[in-house]
Amino acid sequence: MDLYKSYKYVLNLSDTVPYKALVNLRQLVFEVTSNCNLRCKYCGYGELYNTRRFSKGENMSFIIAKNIIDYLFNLWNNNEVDYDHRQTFIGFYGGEPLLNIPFIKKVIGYIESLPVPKRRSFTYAMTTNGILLNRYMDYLVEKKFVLLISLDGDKYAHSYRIDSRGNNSFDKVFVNTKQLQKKYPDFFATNVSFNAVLTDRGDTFNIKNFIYENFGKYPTVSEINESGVLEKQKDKFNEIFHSSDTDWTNPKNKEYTGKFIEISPQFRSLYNILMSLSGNSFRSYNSLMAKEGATVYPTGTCFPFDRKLFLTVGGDILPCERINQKFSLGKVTEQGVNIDFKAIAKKYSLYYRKIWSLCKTCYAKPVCSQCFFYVDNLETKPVCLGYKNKEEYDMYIHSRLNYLAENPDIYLKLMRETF
Amino acid sequence: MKDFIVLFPETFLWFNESEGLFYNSNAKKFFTFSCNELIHNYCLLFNDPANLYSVAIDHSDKQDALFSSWLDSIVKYKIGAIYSIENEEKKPFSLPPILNLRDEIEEAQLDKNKYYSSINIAEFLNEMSFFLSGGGLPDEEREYYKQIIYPYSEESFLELGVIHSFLEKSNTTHLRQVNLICSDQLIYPNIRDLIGLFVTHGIYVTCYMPGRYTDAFLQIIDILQSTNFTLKLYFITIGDFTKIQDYIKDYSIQYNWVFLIKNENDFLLCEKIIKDHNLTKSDILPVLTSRNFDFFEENIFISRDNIENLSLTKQNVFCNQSINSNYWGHLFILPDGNVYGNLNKKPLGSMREDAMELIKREINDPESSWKCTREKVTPCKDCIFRNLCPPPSNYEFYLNRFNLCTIKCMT
Ligand code: SF4
Ligand code: SF4
Ligand code: SF4
Repeated sequence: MDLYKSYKYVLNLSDTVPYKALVNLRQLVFEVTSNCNLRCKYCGYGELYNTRRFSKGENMSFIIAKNIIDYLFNLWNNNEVDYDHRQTFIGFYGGEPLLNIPFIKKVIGYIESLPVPKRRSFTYAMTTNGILLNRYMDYLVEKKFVLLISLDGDKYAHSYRIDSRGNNSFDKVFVNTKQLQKKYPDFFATNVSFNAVLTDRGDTFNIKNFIYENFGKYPTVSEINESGVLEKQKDKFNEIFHSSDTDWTNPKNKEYTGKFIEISPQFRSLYNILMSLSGNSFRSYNSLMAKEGATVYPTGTCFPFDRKLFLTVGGDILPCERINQKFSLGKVTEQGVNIDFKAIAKKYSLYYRKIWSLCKTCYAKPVCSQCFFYVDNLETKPVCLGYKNKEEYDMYIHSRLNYLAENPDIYLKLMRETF
Repeated sequence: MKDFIVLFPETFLWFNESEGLFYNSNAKKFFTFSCNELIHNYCLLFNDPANLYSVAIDHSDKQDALFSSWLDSIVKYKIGAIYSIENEEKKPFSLPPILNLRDEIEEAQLDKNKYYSSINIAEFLNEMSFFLSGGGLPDEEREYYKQIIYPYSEESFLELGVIHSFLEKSNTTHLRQVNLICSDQLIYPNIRDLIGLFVTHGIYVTCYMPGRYTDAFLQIIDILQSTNFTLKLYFITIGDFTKIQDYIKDYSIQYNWVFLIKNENDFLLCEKIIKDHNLTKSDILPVLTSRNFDFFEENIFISRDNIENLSLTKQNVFCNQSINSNYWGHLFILPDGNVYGNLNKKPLGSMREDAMELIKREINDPESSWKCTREKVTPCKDCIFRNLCPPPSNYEFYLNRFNLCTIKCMT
């Protein structure tokens, strides 16, 4: 294994990269509304964070959605997609998207009125808090939505998800979800999944077990976002924050850490190391015949539009919903769409150059999965928490390899896994 | 103190009950060994991924002379190392070279009806060979097209409109190379439009035709001179060769000669022409006839030396394990409109269909030539050289015999 694998890094992004990514777009996500019927304590749009300019009470106007749809359909009809078939997800995100169901119906109606571009199909997706599921489930089922329900575990674990009067939303969400399961069992089995946020009131395995026992599915459990926390809210944040590592390394959870080993953070980071350094990992059949290695850019940031196009309620275009609005890649207004591919490529090239001042001496480069949008002072003097000198890097790699030595049975699993 | 024998992560091991082979893909060297029961047992332990290529040596085993010299060779040839460890808890380990190929894993895991949403079939259409016109071949050459790229035997014609609509229907974003194979019996009427079509698609074209000074040849020269495409001319006679060499020198055209070799004399002649005319790039292609198997056996069969000189990287070995790189991504289209993954097999379908569907058929077929590795054919699948040996060739498909080699496996 080549621990210090050196690539020839490229810092200049061509404007064909975002252009092609948009032609091949995987997800178009609308931030349907800034309204929410809950007031979750850890909400990314809430009091803890500085990342979003978000005025309550805004709904996305249909004309903005129509403009981006027209723009994309025009692009898709005039450029051949790189795939034999491209499934593009049309996502509805909030606030709570079900608070603006007329918009959702109008958008879907509009998309369905257009001829489907060659080699493409559409699947609708939504992340919901479940409060209004009882009212709209028939429509969601009819349109074969892929549904992600936010449920943080049992009543106590869920208790940061409160309504405007401060009441825990657990009972309502639980009952609605049960109703969906009962009324549409097939849809529930194939199209519904859960996401839980881990806080000081929950524990990774209790959450997993609770949702599995009640709904037959294991949720993904995510930590609260550590980036963009306001200085003055740090204490409050620390009070709520619960690191999943503490659950995975707690000896009392031994039974579960074995059972869920493939989703453990150790397994994932070992996987990342083996895929990057072992020389045993290849993406496609074609890549086995490749004469030279692929071009490598620093960091683990996705290329613009490679994962998705996220459209904020105010018409800002972002590469995803998790990053600061100031990194907008374009704008959709009632007048039209402004995406300047050259400017986007220039912006990313600048970020690559900025962060390269750190990366060039960082030993973690070959295994880096850091998104540069999460790096502080990206545009001025970046500070990356993932930076590793030789000693730190060696320690990191060796701790992961020791984990493999302690669990040698997982080697075959790792080599037969894809994430 | 306990001794462990640990193989390096770049070492591959293949074995059967009587013999085995270690290949160090860094040093690009292999060594073969005979197996007794003891060595075979150690090999089995190495083969268990959970042992992480590390096996404790039982000291009494060293009494076995064959085993002992096997251990010495592992160290001597830098295949692995022996570590003495006090604390068995901290046993040394390594990472066996097990391939993690995303496409293959997804293919195996996902529902057959849906899996193509995650595997991009369009990526696999890399090369197409269109047999534009056929006919006029002596009997002996009628099946050459099954062995090498060579004009089709039946008198026939592939309509331009059909090619056009096939390309329109199919996704050609990953198509890099097109081969146009013509006989010189009659001029393909739309050849200029056809080549123009590939120019606009940015696809590289190589034209193949007999090296005879005919009207068809003159027309091709005229069309190709305004492109950077390549012309390949099959050597027919020295007279034609001289005439063409003389004519072509006034054109700035990329071209080379293709010499078909059936016997020693053909080879000597070809060598002489290449030398006399200072031909820097020529293709020398052996062809099987009904009478020259002995020539093949003596000159073409793969030998141990050939394999020794291959210098395969880890990636090359993984490639040999997974696909047949001779044919992967290559569709062949005969003048009747039938499309093949390999011309020695049944057609995948016709040009009326979308090439993506045809490719799905090819890679889903348990008998797929694109995925025909030595692991899948007899007797190679039991041979210790199976992942070093070049993948099965069209000569083998043509003969339906998969060991055109001088290596005798001990199984
Ligand atoms: S967080 Fe960064 S890497 Fe991840 S999807 Fe968003 S922009 Fe891409
Ligand atoms: S961890 Fe940070 S500094 Fe290191 S390579 Fe990644 S982005 Fe650069
Ligand atoms: S038997 Fe097959 S794999 Fe073995 S050397 Fe001969 S051709 Fe190669």
